[in-house]
Amino acid sequence: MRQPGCFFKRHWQGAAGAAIGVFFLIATPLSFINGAVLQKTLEAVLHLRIDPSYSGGEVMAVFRDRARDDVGAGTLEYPLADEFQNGHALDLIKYTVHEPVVDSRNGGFANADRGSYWQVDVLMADRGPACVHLYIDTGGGALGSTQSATSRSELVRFDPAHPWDLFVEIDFKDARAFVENVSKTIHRPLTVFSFSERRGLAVRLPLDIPEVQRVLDGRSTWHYVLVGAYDDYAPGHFMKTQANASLHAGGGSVSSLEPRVYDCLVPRGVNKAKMLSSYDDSSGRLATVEPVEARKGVAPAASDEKRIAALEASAAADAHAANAALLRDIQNKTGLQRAVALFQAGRDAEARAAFTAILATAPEDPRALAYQGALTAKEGGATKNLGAAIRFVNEGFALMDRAVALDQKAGTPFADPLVARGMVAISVPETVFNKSAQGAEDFGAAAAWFEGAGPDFAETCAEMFVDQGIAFERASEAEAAEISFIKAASLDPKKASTILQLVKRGYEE
Amino acid sequence: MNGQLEHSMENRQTILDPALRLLGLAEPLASDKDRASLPVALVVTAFAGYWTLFFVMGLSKVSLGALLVSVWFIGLFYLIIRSGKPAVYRRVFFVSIALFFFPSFIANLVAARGSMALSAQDIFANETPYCHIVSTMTVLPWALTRTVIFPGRLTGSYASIYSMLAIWLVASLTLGRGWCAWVCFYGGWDDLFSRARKRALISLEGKEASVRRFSYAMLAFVALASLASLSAVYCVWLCPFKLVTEYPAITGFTGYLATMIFILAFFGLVVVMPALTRKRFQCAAYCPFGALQGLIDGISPFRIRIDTAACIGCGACARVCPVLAIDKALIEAKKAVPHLNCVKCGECVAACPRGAIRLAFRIASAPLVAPAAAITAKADKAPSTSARERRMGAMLAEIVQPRILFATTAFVFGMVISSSFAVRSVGMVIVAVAGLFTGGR
Amino acid sequence: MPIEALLLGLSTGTYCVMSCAPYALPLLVAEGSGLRRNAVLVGVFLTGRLVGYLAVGAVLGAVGAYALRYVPPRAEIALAAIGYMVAGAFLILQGISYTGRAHRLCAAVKAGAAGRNAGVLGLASGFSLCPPFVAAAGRVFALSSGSTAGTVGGGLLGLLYFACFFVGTSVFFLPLFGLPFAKRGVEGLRRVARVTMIMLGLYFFFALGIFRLVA
Repeated sequence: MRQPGCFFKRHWQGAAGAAIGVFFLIATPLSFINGAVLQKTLEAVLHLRIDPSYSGGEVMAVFRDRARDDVGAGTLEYPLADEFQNGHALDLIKYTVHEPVVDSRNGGFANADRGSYWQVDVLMADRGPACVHLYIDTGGGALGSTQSATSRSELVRFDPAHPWDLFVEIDFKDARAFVENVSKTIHRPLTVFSFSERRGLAVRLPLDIPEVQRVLDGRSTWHYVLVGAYDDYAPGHFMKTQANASLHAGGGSVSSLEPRVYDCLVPRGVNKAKMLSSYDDSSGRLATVEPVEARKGVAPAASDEKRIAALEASAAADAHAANAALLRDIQNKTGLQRAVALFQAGRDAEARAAFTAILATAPEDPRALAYQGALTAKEGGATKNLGAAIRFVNEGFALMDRAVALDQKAGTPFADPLVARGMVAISVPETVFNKSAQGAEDFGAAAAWFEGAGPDFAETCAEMFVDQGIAFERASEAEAAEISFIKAASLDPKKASTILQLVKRGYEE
Repeated sequence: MNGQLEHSMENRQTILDPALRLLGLAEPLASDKDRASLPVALVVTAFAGYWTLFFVMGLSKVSLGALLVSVWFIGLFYLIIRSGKPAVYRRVFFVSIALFFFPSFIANLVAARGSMALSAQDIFANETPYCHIVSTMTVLPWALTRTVIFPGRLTGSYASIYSMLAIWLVASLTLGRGWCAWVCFYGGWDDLFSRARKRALISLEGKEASVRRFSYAMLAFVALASLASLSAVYCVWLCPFKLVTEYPAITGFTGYLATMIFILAFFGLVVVMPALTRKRFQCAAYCPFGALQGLIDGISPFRIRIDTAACIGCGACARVCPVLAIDKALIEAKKAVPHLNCVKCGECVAACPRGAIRLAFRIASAPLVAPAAAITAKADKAPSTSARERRMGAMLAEIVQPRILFATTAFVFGMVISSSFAVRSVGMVIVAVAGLFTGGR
Repeated sequence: MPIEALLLGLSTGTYCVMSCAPYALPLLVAEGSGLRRNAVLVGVFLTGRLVGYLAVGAVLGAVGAYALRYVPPRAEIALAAIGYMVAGAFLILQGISYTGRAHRLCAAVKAGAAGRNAGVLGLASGFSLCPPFVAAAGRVFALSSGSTAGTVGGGLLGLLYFACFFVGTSVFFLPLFGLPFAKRGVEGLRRVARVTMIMLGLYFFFALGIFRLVA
């Protein structure tokens, strides 16, 4: 008679060891297959970040500028040269001021900054020959200047309350930069790094320049950030502007005193067009530009919190009203419209039955498949059984994948399959399903669909960009998320729920 | 006398005999150790072969390179399990991993950034590949500040920090310091050069403890220096493998000095010293990651065990141990386990004339009684057990032997890590050779 | 202001431990002379660190805004480099002295014991440029600008600031007092620590010292 139990009792250590060994034997290849899940889990637990001194030091202040506002005082046009036709190369998106770094970790490189520097980053909407002039007031007081450093190349003057002490020119064409102090006793090339596929340049101002060294005491500094078109031969490399654009001049200028500035940072509450139009032809007075303040540890303004609360209430009211309207209209709807309305109203059981009926007669209807898939995945969220939940979600995705494929095969007549799949992707746990990247793609495609559908769909397009940004955030792609949110903000959304997401992240006022 | 007889009998064997032994059509040699039975060898090879094909062919494009790599890996694994010389073929596998790694890694760098050299732009963009050795420098600063003092990419599949941490976690749980004999794509270099000479010119006998202690001192130094300077000191100054990976661009005197140190370290520690001592000198004395893995080896389920009752103190194991984990002092002290820095390469197992050394489960401190014997013994007394059931039972009992489980797990791990590198490197060689014949057309 | 300095120390003290503990740890483990003596050595080390901080604070506070204007960051780095060279030299000589091949210089370093060396190492660590140190220095510049710049009052202000900052960071050094390896009997570990000490000393002296000065 076999007595396996007796054997294992006496050799339990060997048996346990064997069991562990077999476990690792099988788990090893599986851990590589599911490596992404393991990585995401580690990410969720460890929350690592890279020591910021490698990439410029801790961030002190971030300034975002609206997208698609690269028209100067309102009418400026890009030069006609080919290099300016690649999108919006003169559109400033973001300006970042870092805290100064002393004796950085990669100071072993013989860079111009010698390892002790103050870094600022400029991000444009697209690659191209932008010329950025930074004027920085570091607290030199009366020793500063309110005049241009480059023979009035920008056609602006500076706020007398904040005369500048440092001038930095950043040339996006060749990725070079130099710094000059107000007394012109120092003129030095700067260490420059590119990022975001050369849409952005980071410049490091050496701390051994006295005007720069002042920032070590943590004081506020004031920054003028002016964007012009790069011209090798123009003073300050700021291309001139005139009435009509040409190969070597920007167009749309209505006055010889109109600033040659396509885009710039403005402080909160200041209207950029108004600021750049404040020149006076009769007296010859140039437009006065105002700086933004870079200050450490700025707490969100009280109005932001109030605004967020107001937006949340508004979004909830909107959702309630929309739901009520749906429920009122359901009686008048039939077929797919009724099923979709039931889905949107949250009446899942009825919606499921309706979609099942539709699919019985039209099994390849992409919209019905997509919503049915979303409902199936939703069931996974409702169940407490983990195995069942995963199964439901996977089944849901299978249906939605089929829906998207069918829709694409038919030339994408509908955006619903993309939106449905995207919404589910950002609702399910990322560490388990790892769907956020796909969701971001879906929302991107949906946004393009709505953009092509006409200006009436601008609001929905903005929603898609916001959802895309959320998906990118979940996929740990911060830079891509940022671009999505900026695109959304530039469409001027009106819906409270959309604005809420942007305000929470500082993309809207 | 018996030894002479065996030796003369071996000399009379034909060239086909090794192949015949592999196929089970000839008797194993007395010197063949740890030779799995043919059915077991086929079963575990099928398992390892499945995963090899999955990772080499399935995740890469199916190509001639992928096919050759698959055949190479599967063939080597079969030899490890079945040849009776597992340590020899383990070494071939391990060295091939190192030789596959560097052409592909360098080619990737050149494709991504135009050069092997690491520039300030790459550091700014946090695009420095994170290798496993960096973990010795980043763990303590992370524990204290949650930041990683290395300009690497956090996510993504290629040498990103999270991916390497995941690999490290799994490797530590499964292999412990076995990483250093089965997976590390650097260790194959000094394993290769440690076999360059038949005899050692420099003997490390009597100095084993000093060498081991120095490796722990290296670990402590690298960890503390990295803490003090908040930079990856080993990478910036001491890594001997920069010549086969990447190096910082030389832009000043300190960079130049560091490069000289890298070159000297490679030739001195990886080529010359292993050749002169016939030991894996770099891995035994210098590598901080190996030292760390030795310290945390306790969490892996496998370890080498010495049956002190069977040991006759001949010292053969100490002579062959490539990392000085066994020495005369340990044998004389009748210790049942090697020192912490044992890499589980199996050289001692092969060398021991009495079979007193075996790979074992960590928790099985009981005498090394093979359960196969127990099961079959019991089964023989049970009239209801069929011959087929007995054979299946014996096969199962053999598969769950620690040496089989460990070798299979370690092989799969090493194969997966090196699969994409291997395919790419072999692909590059094929393209180069084809170019010779076609004149580049 | 004292509260601010204390809070700065408490919030960034882990960085201080990271930068400064490596000066002391090899020495403490290499001595391995029991918990009581270990506590004395740690106390001496921290005292040396305090003296270093007070000196820096007083000078920065007294010079204040003038330092920002006239003293380039390279001077701070050079000061830190000299601190590392001193620490490195002591670590190397102390480490070699354990080998028994005592050169007269090493014997002189060892004589007077690890206590003095711990104090010297502590003093040297007080000049290392960890991020909290830079932040504290920045605050002292800001606080001592204007009318207090170039005055004794500014110096006292800086001294007080760094003293409170020191207290805040020292909380994180408390574990060193109960270092388990300081107990007697772990000979292998002590030997490892002694070799580590020499390697660390070489690194401090050359990589963080001389090369920083000349680069």
